[in-house]
Amino acid sequence: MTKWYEDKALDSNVVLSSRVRLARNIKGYPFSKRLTDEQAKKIVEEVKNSVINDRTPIGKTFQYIYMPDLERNAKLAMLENHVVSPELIQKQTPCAVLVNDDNSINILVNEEDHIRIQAMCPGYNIEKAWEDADRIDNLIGESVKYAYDEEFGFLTACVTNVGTGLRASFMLHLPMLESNGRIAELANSVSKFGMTIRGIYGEGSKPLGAIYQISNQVTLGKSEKEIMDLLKNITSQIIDKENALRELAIKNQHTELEDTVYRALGTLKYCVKINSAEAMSLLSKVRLGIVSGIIDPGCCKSNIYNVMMNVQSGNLQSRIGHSANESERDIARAKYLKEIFV
Amino acid sequence: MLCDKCKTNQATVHIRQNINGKVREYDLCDKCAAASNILNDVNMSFDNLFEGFLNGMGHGGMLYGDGLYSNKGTDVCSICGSTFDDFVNGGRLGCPECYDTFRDRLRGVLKNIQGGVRHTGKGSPEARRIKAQTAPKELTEEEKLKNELDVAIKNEEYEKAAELRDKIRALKNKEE
Repeated sequence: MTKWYEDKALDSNVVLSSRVRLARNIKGYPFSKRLTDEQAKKIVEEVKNSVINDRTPIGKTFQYIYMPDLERNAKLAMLENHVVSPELIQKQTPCAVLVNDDNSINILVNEEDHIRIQAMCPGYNIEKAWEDADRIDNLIGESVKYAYDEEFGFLTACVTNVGTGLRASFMLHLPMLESNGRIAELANSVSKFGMTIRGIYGEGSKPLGAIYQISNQVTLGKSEKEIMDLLKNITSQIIDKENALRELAIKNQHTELEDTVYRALGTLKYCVKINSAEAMSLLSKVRLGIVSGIIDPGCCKSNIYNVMMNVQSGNLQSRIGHSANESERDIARAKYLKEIFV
Repeated sequence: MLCDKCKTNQATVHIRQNINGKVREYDLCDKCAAASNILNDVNMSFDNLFEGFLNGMGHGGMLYGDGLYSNKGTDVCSICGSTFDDFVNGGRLGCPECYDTFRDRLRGVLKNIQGGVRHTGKGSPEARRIKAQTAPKELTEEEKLKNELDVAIKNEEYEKAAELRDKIRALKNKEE
């Protein structure tokens, strides 16, 4: 089955994807950090059975993965595809992930919170992501007793998630705002609205390929709808600014823009070895070329965002089927790029 | 540039850590960055930031700002045994019951870091179940007509009653 991130729609505009995450915990257990292995195993079973069982047709679309069973590279690839979090791949204690057939919905068990439901979809469609996450939340809630407080809402290990437990986000491609040095200013402005903007792999990660994630920080005192409406409002303004800068460049610096885009495409097509940082930067330029109408989207067999994930070390090593050193990886990366660009 | 950790490979990952304004930068190779240490470092940057906010390392820290210790309350959660100090130092609560144990003081924390102190979003599954059970049931077309018929008979509006009776019959025939 085609994965959600392989959709060509991901190349259509500033917004690559929409994501909703819900944090939930089970009543009667300490939070994940203080769980005994026995308790952690019980939780894994409880959550697994609430989703995958004979009563729920949706459960049939889910695959159960017990994390300690996985190889390091497989874990890393799941991290790069945004299926699991950095926290989950490091865990030594019983933890698991339930993932549906197109990878658009996944449920992490025993990460920072007992249950983290994530739903993702291509493009600017937070409503769809919310519907998916909400449906799974209701399904799990049928058989699992959530830790819930009338005053504080859904209780979470960290007070920054309490209440709705909702983190809604958009993945944005902002090459023009970045090259114009406007990101710091943007980050400062969105923080005033209880939002945050950060690099592709979340907290503390370096922005790669001009990909940024904008999400709500506030989870308590606002309803889910209010949180998502505010996020949409702020994001649509960012989209307008990015598009305005792009239009300006197309109008006034068309030749320069064309030159940058084609040089990037040329290097990606013909390089023999390339590291991930350079590949990300060039892929960002090619994507800018595609959304600006300078180059045909057909130049790439996949969408650029998917290629960006595939050039990361873990995915690359999963693709070649074994661990490789840095130099081997750079060669494998170039080889993959040669195949994907036509 | 060489990697700060192994000092042999070329650095490809740049990490910038900001803890209460103290900035540290690292340049690492793929290998060292992929090693879990860097992920730990990244997590630590968040923990420390939040911790600093709670225990007053930064400006207007919680201990001084809102006087967390001014509210009376137990200092140990009877369920998981964690203390409020554990929360202040580690940034995480021990178990869901801690929210009840440290309720007053958490209100102070939440007031500062959240948009409000009271949950206004989705209810608990139990609350939603009860609501679904007690909510007035949507009447069927037939039930609505029957109610109207009762009213018509009571008001001695026999013409209208006959009309309604026919409608109900027609509906029943259609179903059959």
